[in-house]
Amino acid sequence: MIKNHSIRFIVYFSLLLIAGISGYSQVVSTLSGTVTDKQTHKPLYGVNLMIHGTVLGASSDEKGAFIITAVPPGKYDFEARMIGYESEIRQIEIIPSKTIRLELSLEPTVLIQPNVVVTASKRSQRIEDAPTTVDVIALEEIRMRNAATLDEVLQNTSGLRVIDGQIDLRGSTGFNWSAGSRVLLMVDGHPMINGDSGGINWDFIPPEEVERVEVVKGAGSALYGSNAMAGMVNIITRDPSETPKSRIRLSYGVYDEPAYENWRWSPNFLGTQIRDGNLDLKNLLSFKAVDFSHSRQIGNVGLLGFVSRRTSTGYHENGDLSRWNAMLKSTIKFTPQQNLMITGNYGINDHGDFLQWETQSSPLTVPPEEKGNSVWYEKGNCYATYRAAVNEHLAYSLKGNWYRTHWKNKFYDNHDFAMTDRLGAEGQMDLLFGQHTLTCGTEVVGNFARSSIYSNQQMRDFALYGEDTWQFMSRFTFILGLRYDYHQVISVSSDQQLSPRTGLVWNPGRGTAMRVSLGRGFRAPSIAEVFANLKVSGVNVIPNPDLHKAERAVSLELGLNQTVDLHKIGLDYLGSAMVFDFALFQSKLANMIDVDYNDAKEGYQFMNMGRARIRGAEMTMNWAYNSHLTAQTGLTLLDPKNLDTGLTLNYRSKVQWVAGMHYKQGPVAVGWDYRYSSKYDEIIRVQGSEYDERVPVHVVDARIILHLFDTEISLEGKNLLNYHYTLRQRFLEPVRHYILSLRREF
Amino acid sequence: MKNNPIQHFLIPITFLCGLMLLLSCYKGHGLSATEQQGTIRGRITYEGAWPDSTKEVRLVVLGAYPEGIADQGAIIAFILQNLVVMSDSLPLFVDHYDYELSCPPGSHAWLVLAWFPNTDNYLYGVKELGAYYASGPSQGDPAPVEVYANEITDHTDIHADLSNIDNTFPFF
Repeated sequence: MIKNHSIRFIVYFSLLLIAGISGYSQVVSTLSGTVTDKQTHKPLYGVNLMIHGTVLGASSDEKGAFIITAVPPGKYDFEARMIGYESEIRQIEIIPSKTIRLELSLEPTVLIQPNVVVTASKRSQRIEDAPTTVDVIALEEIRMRNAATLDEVLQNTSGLRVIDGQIDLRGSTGFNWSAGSRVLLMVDGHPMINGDSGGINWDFIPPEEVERVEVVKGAGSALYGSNAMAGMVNIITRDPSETPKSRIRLSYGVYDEPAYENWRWSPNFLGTQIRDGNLDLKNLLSFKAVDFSHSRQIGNVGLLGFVSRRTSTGYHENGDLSRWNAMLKSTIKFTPQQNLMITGNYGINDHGDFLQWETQSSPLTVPPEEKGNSVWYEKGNCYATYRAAVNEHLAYSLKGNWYRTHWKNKFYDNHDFAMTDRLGAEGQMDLLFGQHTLTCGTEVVGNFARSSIYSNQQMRDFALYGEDTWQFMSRFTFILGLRYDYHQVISVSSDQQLSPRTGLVWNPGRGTAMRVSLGRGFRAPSIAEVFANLKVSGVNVIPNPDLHKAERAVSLELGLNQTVDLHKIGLDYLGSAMVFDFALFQSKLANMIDVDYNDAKEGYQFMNMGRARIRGAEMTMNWAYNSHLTAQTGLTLLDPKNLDTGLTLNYRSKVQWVAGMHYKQGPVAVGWDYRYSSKYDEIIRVQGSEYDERVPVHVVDARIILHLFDTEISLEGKNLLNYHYTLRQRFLEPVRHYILSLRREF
Repeated sequence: MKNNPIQHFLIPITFLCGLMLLLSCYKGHGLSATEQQGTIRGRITYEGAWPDSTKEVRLVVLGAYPEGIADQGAIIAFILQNLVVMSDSLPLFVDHYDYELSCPPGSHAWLVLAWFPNTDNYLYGVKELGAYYASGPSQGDPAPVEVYANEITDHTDIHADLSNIDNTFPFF
């Protein structure tokens, strides 16, 4: 059955390629030019250039230059777009066998608004054409927040929380015991979901080498399959520089003391040492990091190498960390229409393990017998993408990826281990005909786990997908897509899923976009959820071989995006511009997989819990007073309910609010971020076990950044209020800490 | 935008006002320094006549439900093993009583009203007058009581039938 599908697809795909290649031989021309800043006249690097009605496009290099070859004769709209600049559309006419040269200059805009996203429809598109909410975290925001791992940056995104390293998007997940993410994390479009647990690892994605992060909210299974049930987070890494360039970042951080004396388990908190008049830098609870990267071009090959070293004592017992990371990214431009990107990452760390506190009177210490528990962790991945534009109407990409995770517990009572390989391959094609863009492809994935806690297990997935985007009457975009997935747990069970999606976007005028989308998503249970059988620190997790059913969700979203140019409507006193986004959403889940306590077997178990509904509203606003002062805020209201019990879903906050401001004047920049989430209505109920005290979350981070002679010095205070809270049971989130960092490019 | 000197002050003032607004949200340090108790609150409604042999009535919170235990000695052992908290003696010979009971946070299987006889070995004469049922008096199985630190679990009402004292078995 699978074989027949595969053969049919390959034949179809080959026919299309042949058709495309045969059309490629017609008389074609070249379009080249440069892009500059209209005010400073400096060249602009990384401008997205697109020829409308074709799949042809390019990015400008460090000299602002671009070249697009093999452009067929005809009249086109040619568009240049870049974050922080007004986009420009110019009508061009391509004459056979001639090179057309264009000089473009873009007007800066004070809003850091993204223009083009690649995740919502698995191809480049304007953000206003996306049928679901898309948030983009730009390079400036990532750098400004000076994060050790990227999840620290994501926490300030509206409707997104990171709980125990896993993404909770609009209440989709809550606390999931690091297993079975309902949000698909990708790096450069390649899934980065652990092959065994189905969870996420952040610590080997280097924030310093990330260009932007796209957060797509709403069902994405129609294109991405399992795990994209509630959305996708795609991390786009930087491309190698055109000219030799090195970057270094040195960071040093110290932990202030917790607010209560009985919580100060060590004399080496900063506050304690200062108060005692005994400042001993050598023994402070602190962390240090060095990140170094070098990038250059050798012929048509771009290379980017990155290495990072981080050590930490942590702020709690068993908080020590020792980590090495390395990344090598290579891009090869065969022709302007054909390129290959290959990236490899490797990370190794040894870190203490803090499962849960014994008592709230001492929440930063572990039970005496657990002192010294640690985990050795090794991760590596390699992924490659080959992209080619066959002609002006046909482009395709071929992807391959391998992701290995390998860990060993070094606990007093447990020496479990797991080594898992996730292998994936994908072929995708984008076909333009008339006002339609058809994106279709096929994907195969294999997960192979060897472990002491679930023995040897294998899962395989096969998928076919297609989505058509129809732009009509110049103001409407209609989307219709479908994906078929076949999921097999070898020698145990198999499952098939159909995930349709439809959407409509209406652009009634410049700066306004109204959208509606309806889609079905699913998530197949992970190896760990089905087979995990372990006992650690008194907590039993028992397998559930009857967990065959994938959880499913039907999601609906209505949204409005409005950009207001305050100059044009005479509201200068309010600033330059505002961008509002409103969304109403609802997701109905069936066979939801969650953890519950099995009284009969006296252990925690993953099981199909029944039906749930998550509905809510979200409002975000980006405001630019002028080029010096910008602000963002986002409010998310949720009603996450278990429809079988009538109770609120576990570990969900019904009100979430994020806000931030950034002010820059000359070489000095200051900024702050705030995030709030209301206290949980419900947490996992285990009879005979004590409940944590529940409190809402109030976290303020603030920073000051100084730019001097190509060097950036920043001082940041995180959790400035020294507010103490938990996001999952019996684990105190970080106390107030300060980070001093120095960044230089040369 | 017109450039005027006020803007030079307006921008930093706006920035600082935003920060001050947030700091005004400051609500202490969040979690308490030590484990906190929760509170169970509700009304006990008595039905029937109070016997003269009454020594005292207490609310008892237990971590488990005593299914299938009939032996008096085993019952006492069960109570001692699973006791979460026991109230002081409650007022006697009343129609109803509004109670508040301080209790450790957690999911507790059984909130029961226990009657003790005015005898020498009164522990062995303990009888259940009533318990907390989520869906009304004595409907279905007794419901667990969810108690959270620093919070009140309200409406944990108990219907107490004094005729239960005549039952052979202490629990029904």
